[in-house]
Amino acid sequence: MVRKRSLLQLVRNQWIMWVMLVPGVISLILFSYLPMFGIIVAFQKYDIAKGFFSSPFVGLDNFTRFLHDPMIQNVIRNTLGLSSIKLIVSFPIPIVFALLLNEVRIRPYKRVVQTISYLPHFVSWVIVIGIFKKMLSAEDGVINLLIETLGGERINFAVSSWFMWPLAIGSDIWKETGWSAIIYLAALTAIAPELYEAATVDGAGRWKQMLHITLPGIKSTIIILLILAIPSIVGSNVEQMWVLGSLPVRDVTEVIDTYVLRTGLGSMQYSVAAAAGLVKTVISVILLVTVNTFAKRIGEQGVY
Amino acid sequence: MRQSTGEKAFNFINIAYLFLFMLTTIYPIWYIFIISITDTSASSTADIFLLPGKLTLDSYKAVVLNASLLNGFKISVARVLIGVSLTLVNCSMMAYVLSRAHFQGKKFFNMLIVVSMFLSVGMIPFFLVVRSFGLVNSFWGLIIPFAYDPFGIILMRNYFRNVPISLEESARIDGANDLVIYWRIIIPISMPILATMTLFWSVWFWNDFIYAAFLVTKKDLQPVQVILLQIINGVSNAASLGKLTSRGVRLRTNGEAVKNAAIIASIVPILIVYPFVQKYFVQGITLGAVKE
Repeated sequence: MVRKRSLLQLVRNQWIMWVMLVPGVISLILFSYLPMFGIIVAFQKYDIAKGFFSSPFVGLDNFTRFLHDPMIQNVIRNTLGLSSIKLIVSFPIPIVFALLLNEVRIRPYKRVVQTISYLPHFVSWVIVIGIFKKMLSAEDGVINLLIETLGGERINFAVSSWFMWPLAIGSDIWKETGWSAIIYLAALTAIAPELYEAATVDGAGRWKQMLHITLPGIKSTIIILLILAIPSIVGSNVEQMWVLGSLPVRDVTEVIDTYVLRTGLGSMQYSVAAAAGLVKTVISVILLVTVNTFAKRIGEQGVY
Repeated sequence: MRQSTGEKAFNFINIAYLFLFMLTTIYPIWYIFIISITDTSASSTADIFLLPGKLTLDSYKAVVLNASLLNGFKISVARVLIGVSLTLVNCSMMAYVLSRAHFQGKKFFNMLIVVSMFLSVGMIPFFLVVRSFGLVNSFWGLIIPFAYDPFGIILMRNYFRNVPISLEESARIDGANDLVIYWRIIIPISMPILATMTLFWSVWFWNDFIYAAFLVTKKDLQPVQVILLQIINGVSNAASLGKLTSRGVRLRTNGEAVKNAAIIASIVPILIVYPFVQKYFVQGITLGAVKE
């Protein structure tokens, strides 16, 4: 009884805080939690006119429908293939970049390199792909100019299926390397300088210091980011792949996320698309939980 | 400290390598830029790769004369200004409340936010919800559904927590309530994180095209990135889009150069803001990220 009254009193004292919370909580409910319930359309034959409440339920129909889509094999291959390659190729690059930058002893130079390195992160994917397409243009692109000067034949990259994955990976590296390195660079500054001093006294060179002090110093950061990266193997960069996916090359660029958009919002098959999206979310949550549990088992921190 | 030959060699190669890295980062933008300021009326730009040809600003003139692009820029600017202000108010108030140790509902709301961060069910249900509120094909539909960012709230909350409690206590003794403390003490002292979030959200609202493309199909409501997407993917042709004459005089440009000028014009706002906020954001993210 005593406790209850004090609680009431606290709420009374804190009413301003509750009011301050209102706009945020409304947005949270409307645009984050309501869509979670909206996922029931994946089990309905959703009809815009009838809405969430009156559309008929059809069980798992939508799931079998998208699994029988002739495009789905390509979609699964592209999603898993491209994400795996991105994970293997793109993940270590910012680490290496951060380590190299960390070895630079000329401070202003280090700062200039770093500042420039994260600039592309702020450029939209429309523009990034636009710039790359222009450079690769068959008529007047600089890459074909180079190829021709070297005595080669002009290549029409924009319609070359084999080139889309390298382009996706390359543009991703160009855009995000510097940005992803920030978190490693921050972790690097947290390493105690005394460790390096002691190592120098003991006669360890720069290479040995990097191997035995720097890398172990950022190991837990690397593992956390790896945990967060692994579930994205069923995801993809939807903006990037959407811009890349022009009609002639779509069979190698269509990934789950773009497929969801195209079937759902493009051709109004909301339910089928929502079902495909749901499968993706479920798989990525399972992956996250598995990887996180594993990381904790081997004595690492984990993300939750 | 003296350096061995091996270390000297490493230093040299490292610096050279990072220089190369900088070049590859800058060159693509530089390449688009030099074409955008080259007179392309007579010759193609096929042999330009390092320096611009005959200089002209006509491509930029063509961008301004292009009603649809110009309108796109206006929509985008409005979206950034209104969207970022709303998001800032929304999220910083929430972050403030959740950063106060004595706030009762702290645990519950923190959990709500974290769950919303990890459990997003995708675009279709989101779109259908936004649609059911009548926010499709409306300017507010480009703003209201996006004025909430769980990640930003957590970063700000962590930052606010580190504000020395003594500052707040003296104000409380003077009878200040939470709204006053939030507005007079926490906000002014937290500029690094606020600047960081302003940059992030500005960039998000400015760069987003995937939501905008589906939420807005009316031409006069489309932000510039959506129009650029159509131009770059060849849905609408740059040459036919661009009015290449001004007061009856033919502009010294062509469709390709106009496209490049539009690309550069869409990066310029970021380039202008970037140097000012740049020094804040590394500090902002790293401080905000320090432990739960």
